[in-house]
Amino acid sequence: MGKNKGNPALIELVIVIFFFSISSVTIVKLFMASYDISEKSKSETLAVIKMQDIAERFKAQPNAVAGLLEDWEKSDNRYVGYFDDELNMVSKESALYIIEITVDQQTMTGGNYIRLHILSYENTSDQKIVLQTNIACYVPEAAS
Amino acid sequence: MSKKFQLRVGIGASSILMIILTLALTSFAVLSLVSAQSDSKLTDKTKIMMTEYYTADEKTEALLARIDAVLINNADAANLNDELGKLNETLHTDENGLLSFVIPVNDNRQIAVTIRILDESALRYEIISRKLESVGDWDPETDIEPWIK
Amino acid sequence: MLFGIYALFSLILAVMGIRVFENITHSADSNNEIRSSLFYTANKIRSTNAGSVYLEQRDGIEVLILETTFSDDPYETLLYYDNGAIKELLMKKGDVFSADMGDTIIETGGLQFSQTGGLIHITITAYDGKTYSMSVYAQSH
Repeated sequence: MGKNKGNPALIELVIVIFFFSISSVTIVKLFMASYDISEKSKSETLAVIKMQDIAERFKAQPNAVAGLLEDWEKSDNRYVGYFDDELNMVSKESALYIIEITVDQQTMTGGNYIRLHILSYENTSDQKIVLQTNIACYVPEAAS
Repeated sequence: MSKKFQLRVGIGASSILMIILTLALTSFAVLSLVSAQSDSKLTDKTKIMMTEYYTADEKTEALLARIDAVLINNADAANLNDELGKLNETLHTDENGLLSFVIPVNDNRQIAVTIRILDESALRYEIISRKLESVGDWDPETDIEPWIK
Repeated sequence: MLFGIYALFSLILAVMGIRVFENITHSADSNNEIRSSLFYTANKIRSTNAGSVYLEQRDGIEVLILETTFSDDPYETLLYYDNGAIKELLMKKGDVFSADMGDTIIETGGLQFSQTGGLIHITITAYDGKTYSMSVYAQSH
């Protein structure tokens, strides 16, 4: 009876596939991390663009904040908007990013000082802040 | 007796192919990560620049409010300059009687504002110029010889 | 035959890896395109005096004009879209403008300007076909 010799090339193939499957875990992790970073970076850039757009429109018409944010959720002097990864307005449940704007108006000697505190954060359990800044506008009033 | 042509793969071919494939995929993965991180850093810089600009803009608006208050409360010209000088160390009147000041944004940029105080007007001042400008002198390199054929 | 199958799947994996790499770098490029176009234009507007920023049609192209003065001479910086790129041209006021005179700032799918009052609206079209807009207030108050 002859011995049944194994094919060494086949054994090598099995070992190679085994080692490749181990290394592929790391490779896939690297790709996934790259993809996550890239997508987050794009969303944050769009968030900056959105916030800057709001800020500049506010500076053009500082007394018309309500009109500027009419589609947003309003409570007292706070406006909340819910956005997806492309910074399009969506419902609260499907939002990836939340932008909160708090309006503060002070009457000064010569006019009104209106300030918006804009806060943008991720709609996750840790609510990681993307960006926050204040935008202010002094609106002088004509002397009577 | 005819011999069958058999294609046999030698030992080592699988290993070589695996090594090449792993190296290629690892290179692509690392390059993707580097590219994504570089983009992320630029986004972070953009966020910082935006925050710095609007912080300086807020200070500019606050100073304008204080200047307006001083203009309302100080009709006397002599007292006016003293009171205005207390508001900001860069606040000064130029030879044309225009009031100017700067608010730094960061080490490289500032917001420069020039206003005219109005005598006969319901509003006390008018903004003549308000712009973002670079700080520091541009120092051109003059000792580089252009290549001349 | 087994080795042949192994070689084929290795090739497929390599191609998949290349595709993922391409997608990620395209995404980074697109992000850079959006960021550079919008914020470069916004900073140009902010660096110009109020009242010296306006839109005009020149050589059949919509141009954003930023007036400035060097040594008491009036100059204009023109920002416009031509031939697949955002271009910038600094020239003396009154000189004849031609679209091919400008320097390329960044290549992009499209750039449009519009104005409502003191607000300049900048809209860029990225190469993926999507549009992104931002406004800049070009007047002091």
